[in-house]
Amino acid sequence: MAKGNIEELTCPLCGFAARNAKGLKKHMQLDHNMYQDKLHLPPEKPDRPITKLEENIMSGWSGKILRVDLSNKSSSIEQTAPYLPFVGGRGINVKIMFDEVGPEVAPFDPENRIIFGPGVLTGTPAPTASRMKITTMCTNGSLGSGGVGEGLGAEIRFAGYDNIIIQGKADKPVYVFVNDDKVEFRDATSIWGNETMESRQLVKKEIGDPGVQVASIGPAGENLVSFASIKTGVFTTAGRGGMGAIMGSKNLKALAVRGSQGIKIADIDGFLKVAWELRKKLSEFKDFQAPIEYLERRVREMNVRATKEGVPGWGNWEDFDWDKIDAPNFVYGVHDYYREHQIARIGCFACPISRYRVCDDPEAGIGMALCNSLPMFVWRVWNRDFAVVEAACQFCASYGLDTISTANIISFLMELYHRGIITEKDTDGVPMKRGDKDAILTTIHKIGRQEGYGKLFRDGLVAGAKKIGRGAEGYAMHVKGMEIGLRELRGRKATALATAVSPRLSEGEYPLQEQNWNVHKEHPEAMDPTSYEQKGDAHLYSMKKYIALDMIGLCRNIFLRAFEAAGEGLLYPSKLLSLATGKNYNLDNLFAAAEKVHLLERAFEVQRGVRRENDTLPKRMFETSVPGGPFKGQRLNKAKFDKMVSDYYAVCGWDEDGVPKQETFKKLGLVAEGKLFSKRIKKGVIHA
Amino acid sequence: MPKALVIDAEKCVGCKTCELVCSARHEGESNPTLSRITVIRGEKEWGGFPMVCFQCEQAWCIAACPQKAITRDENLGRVVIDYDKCIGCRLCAMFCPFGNIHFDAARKRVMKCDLCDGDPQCAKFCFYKAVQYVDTKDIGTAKQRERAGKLIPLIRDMPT
Repeated sequence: MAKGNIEELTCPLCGFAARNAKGLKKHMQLDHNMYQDKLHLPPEKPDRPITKLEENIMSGWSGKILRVDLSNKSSSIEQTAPYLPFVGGRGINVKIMFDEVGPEVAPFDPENRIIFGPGVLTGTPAPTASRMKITTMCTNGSLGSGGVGEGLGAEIRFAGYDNIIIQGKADKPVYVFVNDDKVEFRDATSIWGNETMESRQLVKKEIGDPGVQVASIGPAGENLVSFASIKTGVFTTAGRGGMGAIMGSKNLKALAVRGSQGIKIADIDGFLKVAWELRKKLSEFKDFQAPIEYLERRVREMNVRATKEGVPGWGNWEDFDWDKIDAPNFVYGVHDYYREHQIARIGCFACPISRYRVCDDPEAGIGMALCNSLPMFVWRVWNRDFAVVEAACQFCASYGLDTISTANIISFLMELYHRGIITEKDTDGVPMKRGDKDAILTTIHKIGRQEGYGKLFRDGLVAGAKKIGRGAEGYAMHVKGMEIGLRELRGRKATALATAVSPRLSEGEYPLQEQNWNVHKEHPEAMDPTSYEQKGDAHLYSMKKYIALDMIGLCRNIFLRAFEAAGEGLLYPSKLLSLATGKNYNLDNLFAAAEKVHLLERAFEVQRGVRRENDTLPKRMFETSVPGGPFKGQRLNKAKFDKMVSDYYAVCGWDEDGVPKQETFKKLGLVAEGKLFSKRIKKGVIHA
Repeated sequence: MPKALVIDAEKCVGCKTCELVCSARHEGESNPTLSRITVIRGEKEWGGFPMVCFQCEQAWCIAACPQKAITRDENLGRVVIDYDKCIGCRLCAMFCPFGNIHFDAARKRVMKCDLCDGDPQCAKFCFYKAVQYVDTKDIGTAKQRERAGKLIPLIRDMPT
C-alpha cells in the first residue's frame, strides 16, 4: 500500500488534510456523502467462491454422477466425463445398466439398479426442459426407460448431478434425501403403506421444505405388483414396466431431492435468444394456440382418431358390432365434467405448453387424468362416462399402478365375462360387464390393495390368466409378458412392428405418423400405413429421434408434434444443446449417439434370452380382423410380418435371430461393449 | 411513463421459466435459488403464483436501509440497491412485507428485481402472460377488458 503520499491524503473537494487513508475515507463519507470513491474502498468483494462443481469442468453437464448404495447406506460421486459419448439422460442410463447389470441379475435382485437420468438441458430455460428418464430392469426382465416431467429432473440437476444411480437393498423401509452434497438415508417405516401422494406430502412435511421434489411409490409398489409405477410429481408417472415394484424390492419408499446449485451454460446470450425464438415459434404453432381447449380437443381428437384414423384398439381387440356402438361420439360429458370439477391448471417445469387440469372429483378427490390413461379407460374398457375415466386414473395414481396394464387386465376380465368363461363368483360378486363403472373401479381397488381377485394379477396379466385357467391364457394380450397398450395393432403395420420389438411397450415409442417419415421421401409405398414395406427403416428412424430427445431432456411430444412435419424435430434441440455445452452437436452426431443407445438396449435384452421368437404379437392379431373403422378387415399376415421384422433387424445391424452383430458394435465404436456382450452370450442364457 | 410488472396469478401454471431466465440473465447460469422472481407452486390446488419485487412507491426497504443504499430510480420506476454502499445487513429483506428480497449466500449480499434495466426477461418469456410488463397507467386495463367480456353475456341473459 502506498503510504505517505501527500496527494492522496488531501481531499480533492475541500482540501481537507487527512492523517491517513482511513481518515480521508471517513471524511469523504461523512462530509461529502461519497461512498463510491473507488480509491478508498475496501478491495472488491470476491466473486462467488469457486465450488467443486466449477473445478471439474463443464457447461451444460453438471459433471457428477451420484451413486447411492442402499445395502450399506453409503453414497459416492463419479465423473460424467467418461460417459459423454452417450450425451446424457437415457444414453448414460443405458450405458451404466449395460456395464453393471449382467444377465445373471434378476429384476428384484439388489444388483439391479434404478437410474434417474435428467437430460443435458433439463433445468435450463429451454422450453420443455423438464424431462427425465428413469431406467431399470423391468419386472419382465427387459431394459425400460420411463419418461417423466415436472420438477424432479430439474431438481436433480440443481443438486449438482447428471444422474443418480440407486443400487442395493435396504434392510428396512427407507427414503433417500439428496440435499446438494448431503445424502441422507431416513427411516420410512411410518410412511410405508401410504398412497403415493400422501407419501409425497409426508416426506415433504418431514423434511420441512415445500420445494423438495419427491418420487414415491404406493401400496402396489410395496407389494411388488409387477406393473406398479413410480409417481414423480403431482401428475407425472413412470408407469410401464413395474418400476415401482423394483423400488419396492429395494425397500425404497421415496427419493427426495433438493438442490441449490446452478447449471452453467456456455453461451448464455445465444441460448436465451434461441430459446425465445423457439418460444415464439411454439406460440405461433396452431396446435398450441388455444391451450385452454387442450384436453377437450384431445378427447375430440381421440374420438376422431378412434373412428377415422383407427388408432386405439377397442376392448381386448375382440370382435364386436362396430355399427351398434356409435363410435364417433363415444365419450361424452368432458365439457360438463370440467365445468363442474376443474379447480386449477398446472404445468410441467419450464414447459410453455402443458396445462393439466386439476379436478376435484367427488369420488376420487383432487387429481387429474392424463394422455395415455385417458384412452385406456375409454375404448379398452368400453366406458363412455368421463367421470369414471377421471376417477379410474386417480385411483391408479394413488395406488401407484400403471394405468395401461390395469386397463388391459380389466378389459381381459370383461372379455372372459362376456364369453362366459368367468362369472361373478370368480370376481368377488362383481359382474365384469363391458363398460360397467363398478367393474372398472372395483378391479382397481382390488389390485391396488391386493385383496380378493386382485391377488391373481400380482405377477401380471399372464400369471393371472394361468391362475384362472379354463383357456383364459388365450385371451391374455401381452408381448414378452407385458400388457399391450392402447393401439390397434392390426391396421398400422409399423405400430405392430414397434410393439413386437419394443422392450418396454412404451406408449411414446410408436413410429412417427406416416406423413412425417422424411427418411422415406424416395419410398412412397412406405407412406401407406397398411403396407409392410420399409417399416423397419421408419421405426429405427423414429427411435433415433426419440432417444436423441431423451438424451437432451426435451419433450418428445412437443418437438415431434410441432416441428416433425417439416423434418425439424431435432433442429432446435441440437442448436440449444450446442449452445449450452459449447460442443458442436448436429443431427448426425446425435443420431450416431442414439444408435449406440439403441444397440445397447437390444444387447441387454438379447443377453437375457430374448430372440426372434419373443419378438412377436398375440395370435389374435394374426387370426381375427379389425371389426370396423378405417382399417376394417385388416389383420396381420404372418409371413409378411416376419419379413418386416427381418427388415428391421437388417437395418439395425442385427442377425436373423435378432442378435446384434459384432461388426455393428465395431461400426458404432463400441468395441469393448461388443466384447463384453459376446462373453456374456457365450456364458449361456438365462431366459427372461 | 414508467412501466411495471403486473402479475395475474390465475394464468400462472407454475412452470418456473421466469425463474430460470432471470438467473440466466443476472448470473449467467440456470439456478432458481439465484432468481429475483419466485413462483410459489401449489401442490395440487393451484398452479403457481409469481412473486417479484413490486417496486413500492413508499418502500419499506428504503426506510429500513441504515446505509441509504436503496433508492428509487424514477426513470424506470424501480427501487435499486447500490452495492457499493450495501453492508449486507439483510434488514431490507426482513422489512419487505412480501418477502421479495432474497439473500445470495455465495456472494453474501441481498438481491432484488431490477426490471432487467427495462427489458424484464420473465415477462418476455412468460407464455401465458401471467407476468406482464405494462405501462403503469394500464395496469388494470387488460384485466378489465377480459372480465368485462365475460360479464357481457350474463348481462344480456338478465331478465328485464
